[in-house]
Amino acid sequence: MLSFVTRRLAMGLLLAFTVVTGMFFFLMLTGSDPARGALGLYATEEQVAVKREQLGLDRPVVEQYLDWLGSALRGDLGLSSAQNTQVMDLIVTRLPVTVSLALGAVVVAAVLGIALGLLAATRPGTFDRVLQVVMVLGFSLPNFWVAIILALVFAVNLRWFPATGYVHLQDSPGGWLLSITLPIVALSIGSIAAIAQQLRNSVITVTNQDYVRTLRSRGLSGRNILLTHVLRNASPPALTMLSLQFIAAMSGAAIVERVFGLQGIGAVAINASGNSDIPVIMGVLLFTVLVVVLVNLAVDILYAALNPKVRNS
Amino acid sequence: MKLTRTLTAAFAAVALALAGCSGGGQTTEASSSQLVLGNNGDVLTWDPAEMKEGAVIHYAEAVYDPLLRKTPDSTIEPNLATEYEYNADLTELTLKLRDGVTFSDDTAFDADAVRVNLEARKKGAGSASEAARVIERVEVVDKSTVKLHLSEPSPGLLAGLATYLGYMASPKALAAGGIATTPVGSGPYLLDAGNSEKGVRYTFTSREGYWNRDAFPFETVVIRPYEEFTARYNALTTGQIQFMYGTPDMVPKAKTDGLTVATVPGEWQGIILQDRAGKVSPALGDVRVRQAINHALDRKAILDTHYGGLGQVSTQTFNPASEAWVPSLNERYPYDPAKAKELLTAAGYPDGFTIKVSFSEGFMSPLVPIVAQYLGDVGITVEQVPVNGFANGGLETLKGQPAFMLSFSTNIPAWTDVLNKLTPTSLWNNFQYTDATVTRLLKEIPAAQGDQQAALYKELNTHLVEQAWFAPIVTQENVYLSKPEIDVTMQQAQLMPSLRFFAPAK
Repeated sequence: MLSFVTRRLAMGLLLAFTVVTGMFFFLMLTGSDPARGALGLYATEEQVAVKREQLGLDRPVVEQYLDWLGSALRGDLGLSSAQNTQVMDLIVTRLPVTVSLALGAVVVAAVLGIALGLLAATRPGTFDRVLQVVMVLGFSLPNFWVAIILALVFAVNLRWFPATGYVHLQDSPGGWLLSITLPIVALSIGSIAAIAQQLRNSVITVTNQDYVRTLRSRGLSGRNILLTHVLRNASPPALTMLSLQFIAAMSGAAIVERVFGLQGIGAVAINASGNSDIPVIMGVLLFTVLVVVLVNLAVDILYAALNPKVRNS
Repeated sequence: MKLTRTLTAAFAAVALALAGCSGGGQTTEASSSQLVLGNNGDVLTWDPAEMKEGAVIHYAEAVYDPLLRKTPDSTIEPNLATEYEYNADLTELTLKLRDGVTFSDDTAFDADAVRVNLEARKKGAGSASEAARVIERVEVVDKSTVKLHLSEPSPGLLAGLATYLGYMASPKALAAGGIATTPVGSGPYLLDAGNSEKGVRYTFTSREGYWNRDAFPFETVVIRPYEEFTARYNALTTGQIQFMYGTPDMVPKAKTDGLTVATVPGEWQGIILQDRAGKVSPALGDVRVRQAINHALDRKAILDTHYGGLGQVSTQTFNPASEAWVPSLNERYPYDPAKAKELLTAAGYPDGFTIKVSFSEGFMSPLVPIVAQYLGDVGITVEQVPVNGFANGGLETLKGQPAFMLSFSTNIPAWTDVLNKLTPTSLWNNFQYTDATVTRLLKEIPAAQGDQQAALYKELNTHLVEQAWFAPIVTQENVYLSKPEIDVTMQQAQLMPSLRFFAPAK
């Protein structure tokens, strides 16, 4: 198991390295001008040239990249080119918001998705058909639209939740929960539907296999067979779906954060993009990729725990 | 059914319990002694030399006091400078300074502080740098008097001194560096760093001993940035903020939600026909073609449908309350496709022509197809060139385009508009076009004052409309929404009304 985890971790890190390297050179090729982004439209060409020099943009791209990578490996992501903030500080203060949302959305999606998937698989007929329709509907609703509707109904009209803003967990656990509930619901609806649908189909497939019939003929209870044997074999595809949903939640958070006025990593990325703030864009990308790699690793480990054959593949 | 009821009750109970332990889902920050403003964006720097125009002015006004200030109709009046006077040829401006004012680090405000600030502003890249360009030298006459020596007369200078150019920061803080992250001004409030969180909320507390306290009645001001209009509107209706800059489509709902709606003529939207010499698009070099474009637009229909009627049709690019405005000019180009075709034929384009029109992607995107349709109706094919962000190469793209659509600010005095769009070095005159009349008037206007200057501005505006340098469509109304517990006095030609125009409702 240790070598499996090491292998997966190494692959994850290689992937992160490839993505950030590719992105760095891609950003340099887009014609973005961090110096102009930092100074604004009315800065003279001379001022822009001076800023370009200050930011080190007049050096060869490879040199800039090696410089950035070397600093990043030492934990220094540099200074934002558009605002007077260390990129690391910006990310450390904003990442908890986005990770709270994405993890919360995935946990909610996992619990409800598994429950609904099992219910749909074990109750064929009207219940399954109704759930199917609801799941397709849930999957097809854009999360920004859901976010707007939720804010309107539960925050603006009913006043059960704050319309905007994030409360830090350490400041008020209750306030924190209230501030992230609606964004999490908005982010998780599609994921619940996707996981439920995936699990339903897997469970139905596994339930029809010979070994399940054999177990049933030996007198084991339906619940025992479902939870111990069927679910164990049916869950890997749903787990894969879960990790994909986490990635979707991380990107979806950018939009949902704006609707609820949350200053997460998504809001940072959007603002940085408008100002061509490459140090911030790179920092956000690096952290996002690392979080995704770690979550995928966790899913892989879970996958391997459920299915020992995976460890040797 | 029973299960549903149970679940609903449980959900409500949990929600109420959570609301209880967090002080309620709707924590209203506003009170009679506290003003909470929703802002369009974050403040990226506290250095007045780097600040850009726009909504960021509220952050600046909280901590910095300007030398002069603007009334609601944008007339200039004294502030930190108690008197101001030009010499006969308008190349020297003498300012008498208020005594007894200190910065929040206890440094005294004096003539030397003004000199240090204006010199710093000249070096910066913010909005102030444009207005500061004409200041050749700042002479400290005595402790309470400074004289600004100008390279040429500048009608925009006083307005500049009433905002970013005139914001006074502590010279000690400027010398030490760090003004970008920690504001040290002589303004009405102090930034309360302990109750502020970057990008989330900025709390300002009343500064003891501020000389003009009565003009700023709130003990505390909180500014909360919201990039997204929906979030800002929801925050307003639920009492998290008391004021916001809105959009025309919000007006009907805002009225039913019990909000106060105010409007002020704001930006003009339309086309800058910048290739007036026909370098890239030869057709645009013919005034008849530019006039045809103006005749091809059904401004009234666009105003009613696209802008929901909030604004006025316009052929002019100046502010309606400015000295350059000539109401009758709006009748110059009635919607007349036949006339447009006739002009095109006379110019040698009976079958029309194709023109590239660039535009800022996003908020201009819905208007572009409408304009393209009207121009298409008279034979002009619009090739759309979207520009995605000026910092992302957009500015460079725009420079080569014969025409582009944007939303443009209108100002008082009109000189700011002149500097933005009409001089050969203006940012929005990339082809550096001018003509003899404009050159003459741009020389005569700064040297004139009062009625004589207003007459010259009107002559300039009339010439521009006649020569169709632009194809404006509307001057739209800026929309401001506020809660009934505050009174806001609207201000002409400033994106956000100044902080001193906010007060608890009477």
